[in-house]
Amino acid sequence: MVRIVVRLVGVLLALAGLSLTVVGVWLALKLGGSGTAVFTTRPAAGQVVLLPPQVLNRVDADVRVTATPADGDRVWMALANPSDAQDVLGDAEHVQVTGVDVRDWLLTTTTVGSGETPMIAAADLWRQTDDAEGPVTLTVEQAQAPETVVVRGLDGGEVDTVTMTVTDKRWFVEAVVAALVGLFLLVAGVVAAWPRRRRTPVPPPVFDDPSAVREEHAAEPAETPAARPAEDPEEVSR
Amino acid sequence: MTRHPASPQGRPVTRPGERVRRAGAVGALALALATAGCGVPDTLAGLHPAPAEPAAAEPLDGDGAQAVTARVLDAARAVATDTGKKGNRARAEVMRGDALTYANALAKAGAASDGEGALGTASEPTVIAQSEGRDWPRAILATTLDDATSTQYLHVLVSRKPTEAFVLEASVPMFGGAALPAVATEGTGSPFVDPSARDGLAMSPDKALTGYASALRRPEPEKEPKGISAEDPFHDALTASADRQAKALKKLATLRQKHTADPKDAVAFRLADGGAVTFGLMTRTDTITVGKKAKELVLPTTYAKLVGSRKVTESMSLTSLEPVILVIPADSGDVTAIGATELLVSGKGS
Repeated sequence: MVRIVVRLVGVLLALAGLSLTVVGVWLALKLGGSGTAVFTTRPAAGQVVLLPPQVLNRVDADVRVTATPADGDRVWMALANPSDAQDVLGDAEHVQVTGVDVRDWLLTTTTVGSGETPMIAAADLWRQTDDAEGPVTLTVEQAQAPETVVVRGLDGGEVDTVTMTVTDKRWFVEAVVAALVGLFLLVAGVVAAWPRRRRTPVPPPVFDDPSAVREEHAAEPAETPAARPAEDPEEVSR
Repeated sequence: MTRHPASPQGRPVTRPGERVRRAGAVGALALALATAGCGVPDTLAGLHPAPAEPAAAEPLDGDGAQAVTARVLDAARAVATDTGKKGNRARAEVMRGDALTYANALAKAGAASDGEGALGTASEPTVIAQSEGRDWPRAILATTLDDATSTQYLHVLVSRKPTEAFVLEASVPMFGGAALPAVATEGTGSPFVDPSARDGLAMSPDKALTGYASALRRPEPEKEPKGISAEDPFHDALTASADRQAKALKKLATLRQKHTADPKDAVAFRLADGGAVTFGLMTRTDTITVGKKAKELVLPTTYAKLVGSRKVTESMSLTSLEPVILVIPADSGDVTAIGATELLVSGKGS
C-alpha cells in the first residue's frame, strides 16, 4: 500500500515537474536574457485606446507604450491623470485595455462607452503628448504613477497597433529557476515512481550457535597431546 | 570468519544499489525545494496593485502649469492689439470674462499698442498656485513683472471643462508695495471659492466687490460700508483725481462718481489662512452735470472723442472699467484691495 502511494506521488511530481520545466523553458525563450515582455493589440478602426493604471502601474519597472499608425496616417498619444483621462473621454466610445494574455502575448481589451469622441487633444490636462506620422513611444515612469495613456489617430487616421513593453530581468531568472525546479521535481518523481524488483530475503549466517561450531570442527581431527609428535627427551630436559 | 549483523525477523536487507536510489530521490527533492525557496518571490511576476490617485493634489504638475501659463499669456499678448471684430474673435479664443472685456476695450482705445496693460510687455510668468483637486473648473494663479514700470501683475487662467484649454480670465496689476498672502500648500493647490458663498469668510466675494464699489463712490458715503477698508492707493488716486476735476469745474458743474460691481465673472481662491483673494470687475460712471450758471462745457480732446462732441450743454458721462483684486479675511475683519487699474472706455453727452 505504501509502495503504491509513493509511486502515485512520484507520478504526480513528475508530471508537475515536466509542466514546470516546459513552461519555464518557454518563458525563458520568449522573454530572452533581458526579461522583456511585449504585448500587442490591434484596435478597431477609428477607436481611441485607453491604457489604465491597472495595466501600466502594476509593476516596478518603467513601461513603454508604442502606437503605430496605419500607413500614411498620424497617431497621437498622451499621458494623463487617470481621472482626467476618464473625464475628457466621458461617455465616448473607446477601447479600454483590461490586462494581458501571457500565452498569446496580447493586450486584452473591452469596448466601453457609446458616444462620439470629443476634441481631446486641445485639453490642458495632458502631462505629456506626442504625435507623428510614424510610431510614437511614451515611457510610463512608475515614479509618476498612477497614469493613463490615451492613443488615437489624428485627422481621421487609424491606429494600427498599440504595444506595451515591460522589461524586468527577474522574470527571465524566475523562468530559468522554474525550469530547474521542474527538472528536479521530474527527476524526483521518476525515481519515486520507478518500479523496484522484489528480492527474496537472504538468511543471515548464524555465528553463535555452539552446536554449529562443534559440527564445524567435527570434521577436523582433534589435536591431542598424544597426537602431537614425540618430543625429544633431551630437548625437554634441557 | 566474517560475521554479518543478524536480522532476527528475517527482514530483507537493503542493498547498496537501492540505498543509492533512495538517496538520489531524497536529494533531488531536497534540492528542488531548496532552489524553490531561494529563487522565486511570493508574487512570481512582481505584480502589485496600482497606486491610488490622490484626490487633493494639484491638477497639473509644476512644469505643466508653467507651460500652460506661458502659452496662454503669449497667445493673449499676440492678439492684444488686434482691432475690430476679427481682433475680438481672436481674443475670445484665449480670453474670457473680465480679461476679455478689458482687453477688447484696451484694443479699441488703442492703448494696447502703447504697451499698456498686463499684456503690454513679455515677461516670464511664475505660477503661484493652482486650484485644488482634479474636478472642474480648474484655475492657475500666476504673476508677471513689468520691468519697465516695476509693476507686478496677477493673472488668473481658468479651464471650465475637461475638453477646454485654459484661457485668461483676469489680469490685474498690484499696488506698489502690496503683498498677496500665502495662497496654498505646495502640491495640494488652493480650493476655488464660490463667489456667491460666504463659506467661512468675513463676507462672500460678491458682497466684497459690491461693498468696495460702494466705498469708492463720490460724493463719499457718510459712513464707510461695514467690513470694507478703502484705504488704498486706488482710492487715494480716485479721490485726488476727483478733487482736481471738481476744482477745475468750480461751480459750473458737479461731479458724481458711481462704481458698480459686476460679479458674474468674479474668480476667488482660498488663502492658506482661510481667507480668500478675489478678482472682479467694476464699472465707474463719472457724471458731470452742467450747472445753471454755465451755458456749456468745453471738453478736452480725450473726452470729446468719446462723447462725440466737443461741447455739452447738459451733462456728460464717462464710463471706465476697473479690474480689482480684493483680499477677504476669514471670519471677520475688513476687506482690502491689493490691486486695481482703470480704463476709460466710453462716454456720452448731451
